[in-house]
Amino acid sequence: MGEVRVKALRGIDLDIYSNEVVVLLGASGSGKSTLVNIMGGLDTATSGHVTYRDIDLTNASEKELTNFRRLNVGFVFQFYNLIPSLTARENVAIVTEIADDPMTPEDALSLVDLGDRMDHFPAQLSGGEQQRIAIARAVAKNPDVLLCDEPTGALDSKTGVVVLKALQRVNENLGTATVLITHNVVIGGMADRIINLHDGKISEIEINEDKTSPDEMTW
Amino acid sequence: MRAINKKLLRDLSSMRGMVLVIALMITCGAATYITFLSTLDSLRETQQSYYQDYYFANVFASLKRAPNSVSEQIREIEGVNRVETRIQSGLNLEVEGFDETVTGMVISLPDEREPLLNRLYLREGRLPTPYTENEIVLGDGFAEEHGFSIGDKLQAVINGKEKTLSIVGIGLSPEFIYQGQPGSLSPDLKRFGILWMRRSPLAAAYDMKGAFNNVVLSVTRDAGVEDIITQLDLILEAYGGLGAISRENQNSHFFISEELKQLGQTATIIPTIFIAVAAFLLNVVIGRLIKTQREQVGILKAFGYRNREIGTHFVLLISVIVLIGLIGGIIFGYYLGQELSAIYANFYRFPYLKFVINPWDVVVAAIISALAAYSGAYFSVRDAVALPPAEAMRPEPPKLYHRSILEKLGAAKYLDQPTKMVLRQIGRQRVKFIFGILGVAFAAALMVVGRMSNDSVKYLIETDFRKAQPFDLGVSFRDNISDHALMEMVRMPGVYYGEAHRTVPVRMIYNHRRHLTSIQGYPQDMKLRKILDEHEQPVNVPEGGLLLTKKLGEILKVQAGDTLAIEFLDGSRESAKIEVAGFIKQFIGLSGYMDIDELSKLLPDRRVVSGAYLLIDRSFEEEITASLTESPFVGEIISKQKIIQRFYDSTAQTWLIMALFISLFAGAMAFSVVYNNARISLSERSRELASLRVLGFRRGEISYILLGELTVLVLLAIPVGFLFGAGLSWFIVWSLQTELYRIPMNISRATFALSAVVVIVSALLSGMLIRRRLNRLDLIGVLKTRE
Repeated sequence: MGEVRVKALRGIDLDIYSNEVVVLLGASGSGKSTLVNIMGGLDTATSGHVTYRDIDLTNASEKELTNFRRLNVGFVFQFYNLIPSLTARENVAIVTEIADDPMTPEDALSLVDLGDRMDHFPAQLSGGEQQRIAIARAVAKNPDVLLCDEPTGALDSKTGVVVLKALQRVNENLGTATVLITHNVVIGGMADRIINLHDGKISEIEINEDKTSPDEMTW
Repeated sequence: MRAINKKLLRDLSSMRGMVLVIALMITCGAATYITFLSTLDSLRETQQSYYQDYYFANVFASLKRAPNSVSEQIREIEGVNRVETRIQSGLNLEVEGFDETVTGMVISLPDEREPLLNRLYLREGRLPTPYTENEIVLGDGFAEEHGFSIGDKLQAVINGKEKTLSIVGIGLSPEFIYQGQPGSLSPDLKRFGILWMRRSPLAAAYDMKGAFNNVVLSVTRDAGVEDIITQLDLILEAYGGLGAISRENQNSHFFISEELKQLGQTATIIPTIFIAVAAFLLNVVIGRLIKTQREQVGILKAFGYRNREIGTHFVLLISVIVLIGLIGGIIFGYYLGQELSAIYANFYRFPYLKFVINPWDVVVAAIISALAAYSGAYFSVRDAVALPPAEAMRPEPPKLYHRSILEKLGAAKYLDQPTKMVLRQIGRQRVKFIFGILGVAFAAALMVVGRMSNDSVKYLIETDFRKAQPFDLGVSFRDNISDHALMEMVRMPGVYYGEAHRTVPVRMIYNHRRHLTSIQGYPQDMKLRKILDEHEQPVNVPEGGLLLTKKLGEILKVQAGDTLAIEFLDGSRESAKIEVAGFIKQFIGLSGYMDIDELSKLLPDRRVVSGAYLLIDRSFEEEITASLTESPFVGEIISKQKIIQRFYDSTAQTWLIMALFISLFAGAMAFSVVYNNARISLSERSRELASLRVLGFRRGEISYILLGELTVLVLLAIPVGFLFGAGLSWFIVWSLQTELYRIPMNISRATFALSAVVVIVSALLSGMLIRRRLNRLDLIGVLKTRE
């Protein structure tokens, strides 16, 4: 079998602004993850342009991309991806140790309401707690961009709400531009803009004037 | 092909890196095992068949002179099969263009027939024409070293007369597999030649018409050799018998046997370590390999596959790996075995090599490898199969980590998170980590063991030669001569100082134990020959009594204060009772030492000496040697410098090859251990490391987390390896103690350093390969998949 080229994204033209929460909605295979990967410097586009402020990421080297992630981007994954051998505090510290102007791990953990479980290992924490640590880890370096790929995907709705609240609080307190991937339409309620992706293209951008608090969400 | 077998092939192909490394371990283990054992078997087999085909004698005796009729008496001893009387003598040779002293030995061949015993294998040419003067067969080693061929002439001094000998044949005999001066440490093909001549001309030259001075016997299958020796000695006593010896004590056989014994030890110990380590690694690695298949086992079970079918699947998987490794091991073992045997066969100058490979050795290598692999797999397969399918399909629950000991001791503040990860990972997988250390440590230990013999022999030479023998030249006289002879020697230009000694062949008897050896009589305060006590401090010969080499004391089972019965074998037929005054340290040879005057009192000729030690100006060495050679009294001249040089020259090659073999295998082993550890860690932690990369960690930083663990492992393993190496060396030295040598254990710093370097280089190499994989980590995949 020869290789088959699949174009994940086609003709995307999008700006993300400071302080805003953007929710990317779409079915699986619609290209949400590819878009976020490119924004986060994990992947490079085969054609087109990507810039972050004054930095051109289009043809950035592996080293430049690493540096971009290191200084500017926070990631939250669907399956938390914590380091099992480090405690909650240390999972945050591992990022603050390499950042330019980080908050303390303790402050980051209080931001997600986990100040009291800082010395637990991931194996001793629930899924929701683990995800909140992941959020604390992502924001502790004071990034300008926070990218979350299905952050509630592995959680039940009640725990999911707690995690979303944490994200919201971070956005409000720090003004971090937050991009959140989900296929859960309800979550779109907390966004400033909701971007619908279909088949690699933006099918619709909704400006959400009336944001709902995660507290009011159920699914 | 069934789908499950396709899975097998795909699994093998996707894991090919690990499969090959595991196979490499099996290859190394099996190859060393087969190489060494086939070499040993081949040499033994060659030796045996050479002995048999060329009628190697069982008993050897030298004497002053006996009429030919005595051979009838000897033939009548019960158990004697064949008897061959001979004329044998030392002589000096002159080789054009080679200035050093060359000595040799000439042995008679019966006039009209082939010898009954110790027959010649002719590489080239023919035997001398019966009754013809000056035709010789020349020993092949000597001929080769000096480039002699058929038709060449050789100058010799036979019984003081210069003769020109014509080479008609080049050959060798089982009697001189080891060709060297009696008492030297290594074959000396350049400075010691063996010649065969027809008996009549030789008898004429040595004034031995109708007489013989050497006799060799073969015995019947069940004969008691000791009894025959006793009776032979009794017969020869009247003719100046010097004490008959059995094959076991014959110079060449003894040397070869000791060498083979030593090789036998090496050939057992080293491959055993290799195969044990390989087995142990296999066990660990295969266990982990199966663990990674846990989910698939669950799925197969869910589909209704039986436990037995799944078990068979894994047995097949492992069998393929074992088979790949074994085939490699057999091919390499067969090839290297032939090479190594050929090197040894050439070194010992066997006329031919019978290369044998014992199928049993191959079977044993296969069984050990297979057992190790299957037992490693057994527990993991059993665990995987025992789980209910639903549970097996779920990933293993996250592992709970603990703070490391270092942190608990309060070092936490000083450690960054990556370092904590390294320490905690080690703490959680202690067993795996310790096994890793053991594996690398064994590799380091092997290197130490491989070079230890080299170091030890150097040390032996330093002490035995340089410390105990400060002389430059050792001269032994053909017969005992008056001690005035020394005065003449010391007057020669270039000689600073000289001391004479008297050496007498003896049989020492204590209770029923007897030993053929010699007593060396030294003056008090001897300067050029030192006797060293247990602490290697020089001591004087006692004013009364006898000092014995410690090992000789052990053989005779005597204590200080016991009285030995001594029979002098110098033809005087005297005997005496002498008290043992103490023991001394000596690595090579066995002897007794006493005051020269005390010794002379026990013998008829009072004021005679048998040899001298000289301290000379080295720039005069050639001239002094030349004029000594011309003297009719001088038998043998030993240059200490040359003995040492020669020893290093001849053994350096075999050592080098051995060390190279071992370094290669040990390096491969260290590489396998480190690489496997790293590969497994990588597969277990790739998700974690990829996450960190996404979070902005650089390649170097995540490499630190993974390779840091390996660094700690290797750094801990090296000292452990040194310890193991020293322990194993001690064991080998202890088990190699023989009458010929008692090798002191000595490991040089260079050996330790080399061992560390080989391990570190292998580790770096596997680290580099792992680093390449780390650079290719899939950053995106990790975001989506669960553990």
